[in-house]
Amino acid sequence: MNSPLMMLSLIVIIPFLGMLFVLTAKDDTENNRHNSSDVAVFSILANIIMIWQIFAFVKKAGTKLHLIETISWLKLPEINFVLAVDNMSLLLILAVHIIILAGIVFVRMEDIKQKAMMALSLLFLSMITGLFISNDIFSFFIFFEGMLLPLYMLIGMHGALKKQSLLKGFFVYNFIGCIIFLFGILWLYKSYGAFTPEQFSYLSYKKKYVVMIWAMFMSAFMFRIPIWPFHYFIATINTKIRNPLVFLEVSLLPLSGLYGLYRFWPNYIPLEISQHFVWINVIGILTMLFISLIGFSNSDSQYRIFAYSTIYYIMYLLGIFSQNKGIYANLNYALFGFLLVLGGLEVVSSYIRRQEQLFSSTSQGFLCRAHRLSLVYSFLVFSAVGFPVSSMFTNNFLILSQLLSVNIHMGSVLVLSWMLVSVSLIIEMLRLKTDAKECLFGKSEDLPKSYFIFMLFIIFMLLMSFIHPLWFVINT
Amino acid sequence: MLSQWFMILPEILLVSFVLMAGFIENYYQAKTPKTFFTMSQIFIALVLGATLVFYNKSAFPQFWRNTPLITLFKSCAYMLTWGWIYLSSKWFLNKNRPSCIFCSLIFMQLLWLDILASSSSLLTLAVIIPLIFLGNTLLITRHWDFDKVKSVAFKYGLCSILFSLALWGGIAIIYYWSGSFSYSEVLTFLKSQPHNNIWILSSIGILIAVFMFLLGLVPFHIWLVSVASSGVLPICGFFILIPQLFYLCGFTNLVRDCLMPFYWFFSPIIMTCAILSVIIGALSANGEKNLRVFSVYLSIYCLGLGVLGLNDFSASAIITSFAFIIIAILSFAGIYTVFLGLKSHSEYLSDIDAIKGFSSSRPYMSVALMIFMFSFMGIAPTLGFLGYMSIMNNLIMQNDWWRIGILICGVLMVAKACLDIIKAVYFEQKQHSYDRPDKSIYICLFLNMSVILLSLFNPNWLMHNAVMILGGLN
Repeated sequence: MNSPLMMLSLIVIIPFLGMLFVLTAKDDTENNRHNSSDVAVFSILANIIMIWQIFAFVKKAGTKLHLIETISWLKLPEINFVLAVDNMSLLLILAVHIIILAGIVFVRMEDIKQKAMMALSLLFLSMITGLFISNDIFSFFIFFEGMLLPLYMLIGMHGALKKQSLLKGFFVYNFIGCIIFLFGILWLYKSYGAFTPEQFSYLSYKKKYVVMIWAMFMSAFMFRIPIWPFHYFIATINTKIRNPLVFLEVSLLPLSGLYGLYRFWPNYIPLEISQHFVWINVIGILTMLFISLIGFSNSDSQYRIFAYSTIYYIMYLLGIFSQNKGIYANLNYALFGFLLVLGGLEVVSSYIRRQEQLFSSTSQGFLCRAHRLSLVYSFLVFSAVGFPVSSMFTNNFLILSQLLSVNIHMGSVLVLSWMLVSVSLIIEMLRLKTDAKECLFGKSEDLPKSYFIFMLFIIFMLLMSFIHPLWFVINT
Repeated sequence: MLSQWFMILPEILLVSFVLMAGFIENYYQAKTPKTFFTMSQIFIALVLGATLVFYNKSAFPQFWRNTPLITLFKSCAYMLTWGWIYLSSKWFLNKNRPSCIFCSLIFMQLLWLDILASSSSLLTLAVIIPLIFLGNTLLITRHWDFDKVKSVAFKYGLCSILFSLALWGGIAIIYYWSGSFSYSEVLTFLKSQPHNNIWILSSIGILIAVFMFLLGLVPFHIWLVSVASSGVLPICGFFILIPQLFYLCGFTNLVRDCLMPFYWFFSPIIMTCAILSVIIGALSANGEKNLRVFSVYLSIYCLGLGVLGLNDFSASAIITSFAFIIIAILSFAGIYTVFLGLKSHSEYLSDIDAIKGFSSSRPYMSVALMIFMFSFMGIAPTLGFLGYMSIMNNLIMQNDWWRIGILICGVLMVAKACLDIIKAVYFEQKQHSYDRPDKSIYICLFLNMSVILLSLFNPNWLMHNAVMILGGLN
């Protein structure tokens, strides 16, 4: 079905227009009126309504693409942007919108200049939405690279990094990945004139350069995933950022690589090539093990969340490489739940850290005195470690069981790593729930009501994702 | 006969301006710096109109000949000149300095450059290029403190004399052997020549070297760097923005219509200069503290890439290089507009420290600067990406792997330099208080960004439609 009213283009354009409006908005810092964040919230809500409308056109099951839009861009070389969505891409877009909204709502409370942050976040949102709806590798590349621009500015301006050289390294490192990707795309275009996944199915793997082109694509995607030896910059930057909105946006970087592999990785790969993937499995599980061990031994809550997200990203990566249909069928709901939990956990942890700094008090025992916070935090941790309260339980365990059936050794190490990060999250929760005399917090430091309602909405979405993931879709 | 006079209307208009400016300077009492700029803008608009009307007509085809491709180059250059003259007027008004000589020199240069771009005879080159050298030398000397530019002007003048003598020598040799100055006749002659005629080879080498010097490619780039570090802003901006398109057009014509049989000989010379320009331009831009010098190195790098993309001088190579250079020049126009707004206590700032924390005082200008910097890096979805992509695509189509390698290295090195500028603007503390910029700065930035946005959403006018204009080329 073709897209009515160019709905897919609209969900990329709305945040972009929002960004332009944010640039013209004036913040009244004296009266604590943040017009820029109001505009940002409004743009995201408007886009969520659009996404909800688009869900009505997409069938619940299957990977078939819907609402195809073709936009002619360039005649020499002939480049057309092909946009389309399926269930997976829509769920990811929705999850990303919700967690960025959560980040923005949290940042609103902060007494900092928000205009640039809001504008760049909306630009980032526009780019990542475009990435999820791209059905040809060229438009995917445009958004894949376009994400870097707002991300670099956000980290530099609001990431509170002490070492600016690290940021430059991070950018150049990601830029190298993009150049390799572009080179591969143009080479593929020269050889086959192919841009869409449907055209890729006709490629002959007997030719060496086709294998080289795919190796380029794979390395470009792997540059985004914190797997050894590609982990250094993402890991270092991610663990040093203290702004939850920026942290969440940087945490979405591996998702772009993961989604690229999911969308464009060929369905059939000859055995003589796929047998080498065992090395990726080995490197992947070793990275998982190391990061989970560091997360377990590290007292910094930010690092624990980073370790948690990395373990899951690598698990999904291994799932994609296994090319198992059972894993592919569960990936969408699993990622949806994972992103909501990641966003919620980061925002709540940032709130605790912020209160700690404001009152110069220990956070141990904070949850005993702040009941709203306790409810939200506990639910999110239980959900993260795989209690049957969200889609993280069903879909992730199905993926895990499939991986165990593919390779029992790999699966065992994976379970061990997953247990280590889960235990580290539970230990942190128990620390916050163990009362201490030094804790200066009272009820007044609990989550503000408006924010609590928003977090309840996330909890509700997670619960429903367990019972009936697409409850909100209107049947057409 | 009358029709021939009409066909040279653009050239007549350019000369008329100089005469009229001289007349006003001497006999009109109520003149201000603005008078000459208003006149310049009217004349440039008329020249542009006349160029477009006579896009394929030539009064003296044996000396210079217009084609749709040449008109395309010229039109872009005239539009840029219009914009730059408009912006330069703000500098002259701010400094309250006389502008008659500046405007007249620019128009005289435009006249020579116009003829150079259309030239179809070696005799035309022999006459025009020394005049361009002379004009450039006179422009360099336009400084209220002559001592600052004396040595640069002297060195440039000396080099100009040497290159002019060499050019005359080279052309005389070709004439001696071929018996003609005409490009087409020399082309026919060269086709029949053996590849070991040392005289012919050396004269071709001289011609190529003269153009490399004009373009300011490495190793002939020092004069451009010196002008940027000591010259005044309008002159510096003129050298970066305007002549390149004319030079490239003249150079492309010379190679395609005249020297092509000896491509095997001069190709390594051109490519060595291009590669050196890419590498030295990108490396030198890193760590450069003077913003204008930084922009010159960036320009050398971009020209190097443009020439690298010319590769075999095929129609597709010319169009990709053309697109890349136009995009780069648009970005340079943007950053020079920002430089004109970078003013503290009526002094134009050029040090990198001057832009530290610039975003906190001038957010819109900083956003524009940031976009131009990302464009130089070729990050999607800026327009620069389109330029890099077209060059890379053309090189991949020709399996030119080593040049792709150089392009990638250059891009990475330039990325580092541009990130330093963005870092200074956005991530560092403010060190200066800035004067309120003129509204025209914002108007020009807005127009520039509009052109960039339009080109981004419909790049066909830059790429495909230009190919249509190139119809005659194959």
